[in-house]
Amino acid sequence: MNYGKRSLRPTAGFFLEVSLGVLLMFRLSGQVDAATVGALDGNRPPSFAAIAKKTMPVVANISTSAHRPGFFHESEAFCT
Amino acid sequence: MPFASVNGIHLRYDVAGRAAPRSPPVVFLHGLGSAAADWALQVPVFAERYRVITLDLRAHGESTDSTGRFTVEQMADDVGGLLAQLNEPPAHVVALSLGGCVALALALHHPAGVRSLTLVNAFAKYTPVGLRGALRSLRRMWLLWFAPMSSVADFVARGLFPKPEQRPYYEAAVASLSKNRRSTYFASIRAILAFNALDQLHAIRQPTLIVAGDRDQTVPRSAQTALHRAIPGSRLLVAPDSGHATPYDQAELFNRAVLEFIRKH
Repeated sequence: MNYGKRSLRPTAGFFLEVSLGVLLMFRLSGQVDAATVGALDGNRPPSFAAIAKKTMPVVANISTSAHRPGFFHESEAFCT
Repeated sequence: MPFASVNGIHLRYDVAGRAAPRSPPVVFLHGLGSAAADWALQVPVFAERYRVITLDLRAHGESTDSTGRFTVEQMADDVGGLLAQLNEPPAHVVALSLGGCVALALALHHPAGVRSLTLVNAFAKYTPVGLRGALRSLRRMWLLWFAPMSSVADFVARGLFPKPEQRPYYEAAVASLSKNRRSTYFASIRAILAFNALDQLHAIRQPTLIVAGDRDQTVPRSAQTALHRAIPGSRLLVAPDSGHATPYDQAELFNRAVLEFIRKH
């Protein structure tokens, strides 16, 4: 009986250590990612609005082109 | 962005575009952990021709939630209540993932408010994409329990935008997803898992376009095929080289396809 109890302790300790290690790793990686993200664009947080501002001339051009062929007609291969 | 008091909560919304007040608006419903502002690649384009309404779903973005536990049907009631308050005619509803569930519930419970449906990587009942998808879901839940929200955001955003050239999209997604409260994320996942509209899809009468990213690792193609088969007259568009975030990774194709679909209805 005592033998069984003793053998559980290192196992439980091992799992506890691994869990704490993984948790710490994720916490650190999260902080690193957040810091990286913040640093990439100065102090401004990245956003889809910022991406839209950069790409909008292309997107707007597509939306306003009245003479393009119909989407569904040109893409029947993957549209049902 | 203004707020509307709907069903005991404050719903944040925005209206853009120069279209006439009584013309059908286009309503965008975002996905899990996202917000109205994340439709930035669509709003300016659609606003050229339509009045565009974006909103933060219950408990997302700056919208509030009084219960801490909610359903997809409640979220749909919020949207229906907002459109009624704004005195809007039936709307073209464009919805991604969780937003797709809300759009389905809206079409089923408030059919008079919906003119057409565009369901993007959506589902009537959630099932993961095979064993790999199930493992991803488990890992996300594990992170939600034990890691900071920035780690959850990092994990989700890497799945959405895995390519090196998609780095700006990844960063934007991390910034947006990191703003979520853990409780909101849990409550939304609970709402998704409880949602099942499979048996009611045949009752949807609105013209419906189903958009599926061809390499979506979050929602299996079978879920979208099920939508296509069950919703009468629906069309299925499979976007090439696209994951779960088709409005972002294929914005040009997506905008053009949806604009053409809406124009016809």
